[in-house]
Amino acid sequence: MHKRVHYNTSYLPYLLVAPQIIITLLFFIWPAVQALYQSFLLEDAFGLSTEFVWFDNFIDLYHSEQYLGSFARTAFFSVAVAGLSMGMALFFAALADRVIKGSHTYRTLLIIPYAVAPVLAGTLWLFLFNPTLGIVTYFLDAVGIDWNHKLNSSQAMTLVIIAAAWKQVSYNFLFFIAAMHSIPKSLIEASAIDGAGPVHRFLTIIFPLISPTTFFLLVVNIIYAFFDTFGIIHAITAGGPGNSTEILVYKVFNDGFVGLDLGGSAAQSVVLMFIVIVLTVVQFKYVERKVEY
Amino acid sequence: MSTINIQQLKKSYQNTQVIHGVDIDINDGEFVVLVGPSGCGKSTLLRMVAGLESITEGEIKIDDTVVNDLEPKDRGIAMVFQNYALYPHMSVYDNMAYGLKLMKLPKDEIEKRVQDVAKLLQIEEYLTRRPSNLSGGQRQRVAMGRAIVRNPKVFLFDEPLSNLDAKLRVQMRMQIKTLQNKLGVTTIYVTHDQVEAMTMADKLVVLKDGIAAQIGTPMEIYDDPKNQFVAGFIGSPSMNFISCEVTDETITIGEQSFPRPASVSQRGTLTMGVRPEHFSTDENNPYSFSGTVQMVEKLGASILLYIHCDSMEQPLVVECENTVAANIGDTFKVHIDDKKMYFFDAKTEQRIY
Repeated sequence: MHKRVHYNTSYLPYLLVAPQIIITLLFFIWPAVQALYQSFLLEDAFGLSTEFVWFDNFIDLYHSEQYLGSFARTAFFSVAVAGLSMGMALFFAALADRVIKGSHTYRTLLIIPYAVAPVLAGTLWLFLFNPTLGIVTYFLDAVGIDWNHKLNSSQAMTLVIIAAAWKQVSYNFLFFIAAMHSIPKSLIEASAIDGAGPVHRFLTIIFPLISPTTFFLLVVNIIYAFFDTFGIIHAITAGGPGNSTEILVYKVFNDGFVGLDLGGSAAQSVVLMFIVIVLTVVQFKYVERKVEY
Repeated sequence: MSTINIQQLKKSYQNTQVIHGVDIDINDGEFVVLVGPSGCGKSTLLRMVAGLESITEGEIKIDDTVVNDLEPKDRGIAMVFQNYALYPHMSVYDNMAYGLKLMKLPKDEIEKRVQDVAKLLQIEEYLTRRPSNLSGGQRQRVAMGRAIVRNPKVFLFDEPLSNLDAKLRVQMRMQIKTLQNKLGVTTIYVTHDQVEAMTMADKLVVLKDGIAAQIGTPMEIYDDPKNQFVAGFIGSPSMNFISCEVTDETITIGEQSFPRPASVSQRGTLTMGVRPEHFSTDENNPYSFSGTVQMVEKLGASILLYIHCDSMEQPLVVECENTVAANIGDTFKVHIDDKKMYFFDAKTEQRIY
């Protein structure tokens, strides 16, 4: 039973939730409404004249090959980032779960990338893979791979995927290791007695039991790849070469602030907003349900 | 069908030693219960037999093979855990078949074995359910089914009944014992409940602080405890301990003196032990005390009286027939049966008479 405290004053509850509501209104609702409004407008590059064009911006997007290409690119990028970072994190967590000595150091080291700002992470990888100076480039050259992500679009995509995934490994690692710790030890012992080796144990017991966490992380990682990788891409490739690493969120920036097509850019961000809303609904609907056995 | 020999088994974690050299020989088909208070090392001992804890020193042999360095799966054991440790994401059938699949048995063989065991345990109708849809007693049976279906050489039980309610516990206790009898599989069973220990064991091992305080049949241990700890731990309610002074002629308890029993030859301070059920009603018995009734516990079949005597620090617990009328504050006279007195050395706590 919930115990409720009743206050006689009627303004107190409103006062207590006010900061949260003000922040939400100011930083989420208001810009969202602005973007929605902007997406119905057509402006000239100097902002001197504005015309209300209803859904024209959206219709243009629907017919734009560049935009649809960016969509496909983003889908590939986010699946690759989510797959790579979750795969690595799961691998590390599975190992860390078995480490006995120095597990704290190991864990702390694994969490560090999460504290690195996206642009810095991008710069870091940029230096490593710099076509002329990069150390990784040097080694790749030794095995016969000519690395130049400034010219080669698939190499550029590979690099942004690696950088974006690297930064997210820590976050995923934390969730995976917490999930693994919450599995009763006796289950693992029971399966050891039943004759399962470490790998089989992982596949048949641990992995199914952390599946709610995995699903949660999948959604979080896709959202991350969609929205929070702007800094990394901006630092490494700036969307190039050509448009080969221009994912949706980067295109919003490029079209709006470089191309000065404010209406089209706003329409793109409205599309992104709906994607986020859908992903969030999916997450709430299914994560909650899958948790209980 | 197998024997287990445990020799000078020791276990330490970093600097703390938890098991100090235990020897146990277990015969084929025997039901051995490890009993002791929490922290006595009984679960650790079991887990060492299972292979879930490493062995610091000593040897464990199953069927004359040293298993110290064998993986749990290679020891031919099956274990039932306190929290059952059923795989929550698998059906009861898959839980039971998990180990068999790993043995790479043919499918119809697995099917047959699971069905047979399910029939034996009367859980056939739950085979498709998940463990979360089962009651505590049903989960318990599934956990046992998972152990039985593998046809192990040894069963290990780690306090399997402690999560069940009292009534179910008594039922399951009987079922486990009957089943073990029927299957004839050597069993080690860990519990802190001395009633469980007494009722189930062929051989009882009383552990205290990592040492086997006594090993024997339940009745041997009840009738002939080797030390004060075992005497106090086995038997419910616990044995009364009374400090006494023995001289050539007399035995003095508080202010009262009695003739020295012929069997007691040691002089000085001893501890006398009397079980609550061993007080006599014989009015002519010389060993009698008067005291005030502090508390009355009516158990139905019998009544427990807590009697405060001036000569003793602790109240005496006396079990008497349910026809005895006694109320709190009454003066009550009890007689100790002199044939059922135990004497312990006050210092070493070893039983001397």
